[in-house]
Parts: sequence; structure tokens; C-alpha cells
Amino acid sequence: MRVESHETEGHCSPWSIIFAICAPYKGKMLIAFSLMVLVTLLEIVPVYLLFLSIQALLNPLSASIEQLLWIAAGICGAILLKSGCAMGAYYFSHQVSFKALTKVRMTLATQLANMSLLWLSAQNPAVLKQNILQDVEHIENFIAHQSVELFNAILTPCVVFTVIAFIDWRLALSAVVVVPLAFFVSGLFMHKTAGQYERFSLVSEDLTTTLSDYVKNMPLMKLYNLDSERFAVLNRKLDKYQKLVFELTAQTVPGWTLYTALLGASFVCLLPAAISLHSTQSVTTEQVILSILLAVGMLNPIIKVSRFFMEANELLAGVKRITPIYMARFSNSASTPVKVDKRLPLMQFHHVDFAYQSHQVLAGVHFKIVPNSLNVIVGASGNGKSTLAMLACGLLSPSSGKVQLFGQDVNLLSDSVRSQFMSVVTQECYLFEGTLRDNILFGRSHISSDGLERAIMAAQIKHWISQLPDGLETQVQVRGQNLSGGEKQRIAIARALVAAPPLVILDEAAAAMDNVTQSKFYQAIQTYYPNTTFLVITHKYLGLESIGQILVLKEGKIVSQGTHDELLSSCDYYRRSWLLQHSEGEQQRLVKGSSDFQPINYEA
Amino acid sequence: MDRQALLSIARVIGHASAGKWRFYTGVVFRVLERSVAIAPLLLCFHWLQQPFLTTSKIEPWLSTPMGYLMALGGCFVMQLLCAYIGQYQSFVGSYQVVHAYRIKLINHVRKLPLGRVRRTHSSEFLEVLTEDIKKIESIFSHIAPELISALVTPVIGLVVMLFITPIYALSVLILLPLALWVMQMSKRKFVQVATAKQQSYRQSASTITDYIEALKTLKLYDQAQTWLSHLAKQLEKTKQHSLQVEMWGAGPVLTYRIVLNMALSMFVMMLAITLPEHRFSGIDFTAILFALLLIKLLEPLQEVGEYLTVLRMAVQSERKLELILNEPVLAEPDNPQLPSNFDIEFERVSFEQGVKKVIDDVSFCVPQGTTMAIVGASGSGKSTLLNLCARFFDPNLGCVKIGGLDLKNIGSKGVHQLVGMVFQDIQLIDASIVENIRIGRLDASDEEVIEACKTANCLEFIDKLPNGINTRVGDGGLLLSGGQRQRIAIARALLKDAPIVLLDEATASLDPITQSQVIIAMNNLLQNRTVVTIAHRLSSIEGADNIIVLEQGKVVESGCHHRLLAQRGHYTYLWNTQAMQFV
Repeated sequence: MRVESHETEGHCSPWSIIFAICAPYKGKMLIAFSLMVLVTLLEIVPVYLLFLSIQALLNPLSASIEQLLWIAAGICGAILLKSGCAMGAYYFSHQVSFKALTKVRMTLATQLANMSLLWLSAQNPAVLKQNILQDVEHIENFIAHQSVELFNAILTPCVVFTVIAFIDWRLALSAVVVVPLAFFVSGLFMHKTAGQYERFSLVSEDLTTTLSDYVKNMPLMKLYNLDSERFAVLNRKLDKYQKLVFELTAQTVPGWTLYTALLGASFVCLLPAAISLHSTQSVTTEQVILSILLAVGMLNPIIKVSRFFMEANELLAGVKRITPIYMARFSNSASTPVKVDKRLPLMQFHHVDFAYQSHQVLAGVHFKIVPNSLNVIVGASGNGKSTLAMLACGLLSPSSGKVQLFGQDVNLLSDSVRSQFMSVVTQECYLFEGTLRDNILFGRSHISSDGLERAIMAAQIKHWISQLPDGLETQVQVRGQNLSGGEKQRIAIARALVAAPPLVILDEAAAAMDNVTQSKFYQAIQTYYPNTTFLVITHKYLGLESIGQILVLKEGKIVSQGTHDELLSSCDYYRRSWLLQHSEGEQQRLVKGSSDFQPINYEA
Repeated sequence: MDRQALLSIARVIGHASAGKWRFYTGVVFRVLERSVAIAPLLLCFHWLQQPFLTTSKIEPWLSTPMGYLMALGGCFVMQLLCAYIGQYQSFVGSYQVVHAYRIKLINHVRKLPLGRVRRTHSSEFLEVLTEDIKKIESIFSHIAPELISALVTPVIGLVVMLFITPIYALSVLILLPLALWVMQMSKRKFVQVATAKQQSYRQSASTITDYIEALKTLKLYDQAQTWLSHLAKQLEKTKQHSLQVEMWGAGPVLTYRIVLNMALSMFVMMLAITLPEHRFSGIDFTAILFALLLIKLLEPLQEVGEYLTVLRMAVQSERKLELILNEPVLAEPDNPQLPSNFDIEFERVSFEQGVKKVIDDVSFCVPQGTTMAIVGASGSGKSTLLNLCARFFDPNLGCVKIGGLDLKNIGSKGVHQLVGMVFQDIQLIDASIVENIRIGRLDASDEEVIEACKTANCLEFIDKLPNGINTRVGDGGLLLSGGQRQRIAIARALLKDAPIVLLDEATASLDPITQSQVIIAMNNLLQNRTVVTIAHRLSSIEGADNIIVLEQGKVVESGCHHRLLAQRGHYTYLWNTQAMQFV
């Protein structure tokens, strides 16, 4: 599958996405909402029954004990029934919400797997994690709780209004006369909430970043006596957070209190209206009492609704963040398989430029790799070596020029085609919880035990594995926590070699090897894999004496290429670097006569 | 109410000095606000009663609809004022309380022994300092004032009614403790359920985290589909789990409400019981008053169940933080002493991490102005020795001295003034280069910073950066190369100009030319100081006045380079296998 476009259609509002997420569970949501209608209606019943008892109190002579006991039983029943309906509504809404949440997470994970490597390597993994975990978390709360509660909150004032209107329409109107006023106030004061929320989350994130620095650099904080005051950056951000919170409080509290007070003030007009209607005998005393009882807190649900819309920022922001991933479209046409054409070079960089945020990293890189041999790229850090490796395996795409595998652009290859032709060891070696064998085979089932053995030998971990009590069945902990950096790198190398693809790219994969092991490693891969081409990126100049092609990368350009001997005579930079490293290595000559010495083993 | 929740709130307030009176004022006004909200029903009752009163008792100003409108308007203005003062004061007060609390916690964490800090993953500590504190902030700003006013106002109302109509008020007042008791009973279950939910969330979170971290590798090996099915299974499991958990969580709140609302039924039953008494004594106005007020009094109590649930969640966070606040910090002397010279001495020092002895009976002396190198395979305890020197933690046995004084008597602050350090994991904060260097000495002038950069061989690359010395370094110094980061750390140590330097020279990952530049910078830093270095390079080992060889936390050999080589022992073995180069 090929990525056509990650652009989302501009008209995808967050609400339409939430709606689409719920759409498959229409039936269950409908049941939940219907139950909620019953809940709303049943909420009025106890109030009415209480009114009946007041009526009895006002006419003590005509009241009977049985009548009152029936009322009490009625209230009891109504409450139980209401709770039962509410329970049912929540049951269904929760079912929907967990199903929807699981499905959204799965969809996002699948979408990510279909994204191109290019796109993936431009993403911050922490953000992707937040997308799948936190950003969708609010959807759960929305479907499970808020949707049904909001429905109830909107329905309740309407039902109460209708019932009072049946008593007398003027009473009903006077009870809600404050509503337009409240909305006017909210329009006046609270139109800025979205902007305020944005400012708050920016400042809050900023503080989190610095706190993260503080925790990660604890030795530094100790050593330089940096507490919350002396650590200027942190102090500044704490202050800023505090100031903003005060500012926002001062801004929002007046409007919000006025708004909520107005919505709580249905009595202000209702009672005088009722009294004056009563004095003209338009309504009875009983009717006044009933409408007063019904009107207690009738508008409070509206506050709940507006609070939801104020807090919905988080939900919507989360949904907005996942939209580009959720809505990405992929064309289903399978990519054409690469034709192995021996006349075309296995891999070729064709006048490649690469710029990162207006910073030119590579300029005019142009070379073919020598087949069935070792191709080494050397250079100082910050000169574009790793960029070159990432271009070679399609993790980046050139700003101009082409990187081709048998004449096909690398960044357009599908996962399955690419993995058939090349494997890559990047600087981040991912290991998972499982045995060493699982980690090396990495899900590929067609590997012979011979092939596995060969890869282990070549990666120079044969000796290390044979020392482990469980050998290849040794358990690797999450992210390889129980292994050293060097061990992890070599396992990743074995993983890359084991399928013996035509091309293997090693980006600083041998960095943790000492000089002797490194030389052995270079020899081994050439001996064991005569039909594989290697592209090795390194900053070490040792062990390169018998290698097919060395490319020297300096400030984004290939300044020189050739064999070790050619470069020693032709490239000043190469000679200088080699000499610097060589002199350190040369002096560290072996001390004879120590081979019989065995270090004492303290692990008794 | 929940005792533990009250304790939590009291503890946080106890940690803070500012803002608590504001907070209390705010809560009192919130109670007043809710009390004033009852007034309209009293007016309604007044109107209802009027036809039955003798004319002498009728207040003339409260007899027309206009009069009622004025009275209600007055109540509204009162309520609005109380609401404004209550909300503003409780918000500002609670933010002040939490601000002080946050600062206290931030500073406490720094004073913990480094080993303690390292034992917990940094992301977990970060969560404590951000997410958990935010939850506590929400207790104070939103939950507590609402909860208290929603609980206190009806209780006051009911207690007042107790004097007017004891029977009815009592019948309702009995139910409130019962309802709260239901919540209380469900608490253990709730905590269980909440933990179970967190656990299942954590599980799927770690599966997803794993998946995302692996994704590039998975795609490079065309294995993404296999892992997706694994992920699907895990998410399905979590889903089943969450559904059960949620049902258990919702139950108590619902039951609380059922019990609470039974008050209506209870009241009507009491009416039935007292009916024969009142049948001939005329209308029972107190009962009517109670009936009118009952719904209004129950209204805030409905919310209490939910607030309590949210509060409990937040209280979990508070208890987590309180545990951290109670962890012992490094003991500091009452009268810190300052050493007169800078000899470093280890006297039979042992340090344990869990059951493992990381440092085992180590003794050595580094006279002022000399250099000692530590060599040994990775995991032999080299960095722990440096950390003990810097008093990032105290030894379990023996003592570390500078100038003949125990570090415990010099105090952390004093030790840290004497010690400069370049760490293996270069410690840079996400700020500008100049801010990173100035950490070395906060009052250093611009010229001094530039001078330090020059000596540390930094200017050459700083000048090439778009914003020069004001360029931001990115998270962990991401935007700089390894060699550049090291040189900035060296410039920082140079600016500090401490008499003792502890150094972990991890230069193996650098290319030869960068390496040589870093080494020049390092040598500038080491001049005329007392130095302890974890050595990886030949020249620094050969130049050391003394070398100790560590193995499994023990000093197995010591002496100068040539003498050690002549011994043909551990040092020679390390030398030949080049294990010293292992990083």
C-alpha cells in the first residue's frame, strides 16, 4: 500500500469525527438515550407526589393516612425505577464507549503502520503515544458519561417548562425569563474561553518541559545548588504559571458567577408573577405551590451543559490532534515489485541534496555502492552521516536528487519489498520482551538454524551467548534494560544479518565495539556474507585497511572516495583523522606474558 | 465525610503558608451563597402563610407582588456578591496553597539522595510533579469548596429545622449519615477498582508505547501486521476489564442517591404517622415549610456523592506525594564547616544498593593538586565512586573526607561549592547555551561566560550557530552534537572554577578530530586542580599520579601506570582486552 496523501479534508470538524466514531453503535446509544428520557420523566414524579402531600397538609380534614402512605410508597417506587433506568442507560453508554475507544486506538495503530517511513521518522514518538493514549481518553468519558448526562441536562428544563406551562403559560415564561439574560451575559464575558484555555495549556506545557529537565538533570541541580528559586528557568516558568492562573481567575470569575447566579434565579420573576396571578384568581394556591416546587433548580442543568462546553476544549483538542492520523487515506494499489536488474546499480545516490529547516545537511551527494563488498562512510559528527543512512533506507527523502535501489526510488517502496532487499541497523536498537532468539529472528519464520548461527558468529556475539546460562533462550527485558548498549547493538546486527538480504545498512552499529573486535567484525561479515553489500557509517578509522570503498563526508559533501591507501595519500582530512586515532591505538600495544592471567571471579 | 480526604486537605494546607485564610474565607462565602439561595422558598412560605395570619402580623411592605420582587431582587444581589467573593477567594487561595506546595515538593526531591531519585524512572517523578499536583490543585480549586458548601449548607438548614420541626428534620437527618456510610463502605472496593483500572490502563499504555517505539524497526522488517494483532488482543482484554471496573465504580454513587432521596418518602411517611394529631389542630404550617424546603436542601446533597468520588481519586495522588515528602533527605549539619585544603580521602567506604554491594571497603587518598584515575569494566562501580565524592548520597559504612573533614560535616551545599563535575550523560537543559553555561555561576558576567567558552574550545562552533550563544539546545541538548554538548558542560565547570573536578571522560563515541578538541578543553579544565577521573584514554591514564583498578566494587590494584603494567595483573588484563574502551 502506498501513501497517497496525509492531508485531511478541511471540513472534518472534531464533532463529525466523534459522531463517526459512535455511528456503528447507534442501537445501543439509542437505548441509552431512551432510558434517559424515562429517567428525566421519573425525576418529576417524586416532586409531584410531594406536592400531593402538601395538598393533604393544607386540607387536613380530607386527608387520610392510607393516601399519604401510598404517596410515600409511590415516591419510593419512582426513585428505585429512576435509578434502575439510569443504571441501564450508563450500562449501554459504557459498553459503547469502551468498544469505541478500543476501536479508535486500534484504527490509529493500524493507520500508523500504514504511514510511510518518511512520515514516521518526522514524528515525535512521545506525541504519537499521546495521540493513541491520552488524546482519545476523553472520548471515553464523553460517550460513557457526558453524552447521556448532557441529554438529561437539556431535556430536564424542557420537560419542567412544559409541565409548568400546562398549569399556566405565564408562570412558565416567568420562570425562564432569566435565561436570555444569562446567555447575553455569557456571550459578553465568556467568548474568550477558548483562547484562555489555549494560553493556559501552553504555559502549563512549558512548565512541564522544564520540570522534566529538572527531574532528568537531578545531579546537575544538586551540584549547582539549583532549587526552584536559583534555577532561573524553572523559577520564571513557575511565576508565569502562577500569574496566568491569577489573571484567568480574575477574568473568568465575574462572568461565570453572574451567569450561574442568573440561571439559579428563576424564582425572582416566578414568585411575584405567581402572586399577582393568584391575586387575580387566575391560578390556585395549589398551582402556585406545584410550580414553585417544580422550578427548584430547574435551570441548573443548563450550567452543567455550559460547563461541559467550556471543558470540551480538551476533548476537541484531542480529537483534532488525532484527525490527521485517523483520516489519512491510503491507496490500495499494491506497489510494483522491484525488478532485479543486474545492469542497474544495487544502490545509487543521484545528486542528492538534503536540507533540514533551511539548514543544508547534504549537498550534491553522488555515488554508487560497490556490490558484494563493504562501503564505508566516514566523517565527523554533524556532517550528515546519519542523514545519509536514513536517506538510504527511506527514513528520509531527498530535497532534490534521487536515492535508488535497482533504479527504484527507495522512499516509494512498500514495507514488504524494502525488507526483502535491505535490512538496517539504526542507532536506536529496539529490543522487546522475549528470548534472544525471538529478538534476532524478529518474527521471520523461514530462517534456518545455520543462518542463525552464521549471523551470531558474524555479529561477534557467539562467545558472549555461549557464556550465558540460557544461551539463545535468555530472556531480554523490556527495551533490553538488562543488556548493555554494546550488547544491544550486536543483537540488532545479528537481526539484520540473519535474513541475508542483498543490502545491509549499519549506522554506527559497531560504535561500541573496541578496535580489535571491530576489525574482526569487518572481516567476518565479508567472509560469511560474500553476496551481501554493506553500507557502513562510522566515525572510527580503524580496521578499514582492506575495504572496497571508503567515502569521506565533510560538511555535507563527499570530499573524497577510494580505498584506504588511496585516501591516505590523496585526502588530507582522512589522513589527519586516521593518524590521530592510530596514534592512540598504536601506543596501546599488548603487554606480553599476561595471557595466563585469569581475573578473579567474585560471583561466588 | 471521608476522614482520609480531610486529612489530605489538612496536610496540604499544613505544607503551605500562603493562601490558606483566603481559601477558608472563600469556602465560608460559598456556604453563605448556598444559604441565601434558600431565601426565595422562605418568601414563598411567607406568602402562603399570610391569609391565615392575623392582620397585625402582616408586614405591609411584603404584601404586593412588587414587594416580593424587591425582596427577591435583594436576595439575588446578596447571593451574587457571596458567589463572587466565595469563588474568587477560594480560587486564588487554593492556587496560592498549591503553588507553595509545589515549590516545597520540587525542592524536597532535589534534597533526596541521588540513588533514591534514580531508583524511580524520571518519567514517574515527572508525573508526580505535574499530573499528581494538578489533581491536588483541582481538589482545592474545584472539589473541596463545592463539596464543603454542598454538605454544610443543607446540614445547617436541617439543624435549624430540628428546632422548628424536630420529628421531620430528624427523619431526614438520619438518612444523611446512612447515605454517607454507603459511600464509606464502598471505599475499599472503590480503591481496589481504581487501582485495577489504573493497572489495566498501564498495561495497554505500555503495549502501545512499545508498539510506537518499535514501529520504525517493525516497518523496516515488515513485521507491523504481526504486532498489530498482538496489540488488538491486549486492547480487547483491557476493554473487558474496564467494563467490569466501571460498573463497580458507578454503583456506590447511585446507591448514595437512592438512600438520600428516600428522605422524601420518609418525610411523607412521618406525615402519615402524625396526621391523626394534626387533623383537628388545623393546618400544620411547620410541615408545609419543611416540605417546601426539602427539595432545595436535598439538591446540593445530590452532588456530594460525585464530588466525594472525584475527591477520593485526587486523595490517592496526595498520599503518593506525602510519601515522597516524608522520605528522608540527606542530613545536613547545623554548623557547616569549610575545609582548609582539598585532599580527598575515602576511609573504608562501602555503599549498598538494595542487597548488592556496589562499593566494598574502598580506601584511597588524592592529595590536593594531583590526579587519580579510576579504571575498570562497566558495572564495576566507577560512577558510584564519583557520586560519593560529590555527596549525591552518603556511604553506608566508612566516610568520605575533603581536607580531613567528613562530607557530612561540610554539608551538601558546601561540598557542591567545592566540586565541579562533567557527567557521562551530559546534563543540558532545554534553554539557550548561555543559560546552560551560566548555571556554573549565576552571577557571572557575559565576558566571563565568553571567556569560559573560549577556554573550553566552544566559541568555534558557537559562532557558527544562527543565534550564537543564545541558541536553544533542545531537549537534552538534542540540537547539538555529542562533542559540542561535552564542551558546553566543560565550559560550565570552568565557570564554576571549583578546586576539585570529577570527570567522566566518555569520548569514545566522538570522531578523532572532535575528540582532540574535547581533550584540549578537558585539559584546560583540569589544570591546577584536584582531579578524580574515570579514564578511557591512554594519555590521561599515563599522566595520572595514581590509578585504582575497580572490580565488583573493590579496589584490586593501585599505583602508577608503569608499576601496574609490571604487576601483570588485573590492570594488564584490562589493558590487553581494552575493556577500558568499553562505554
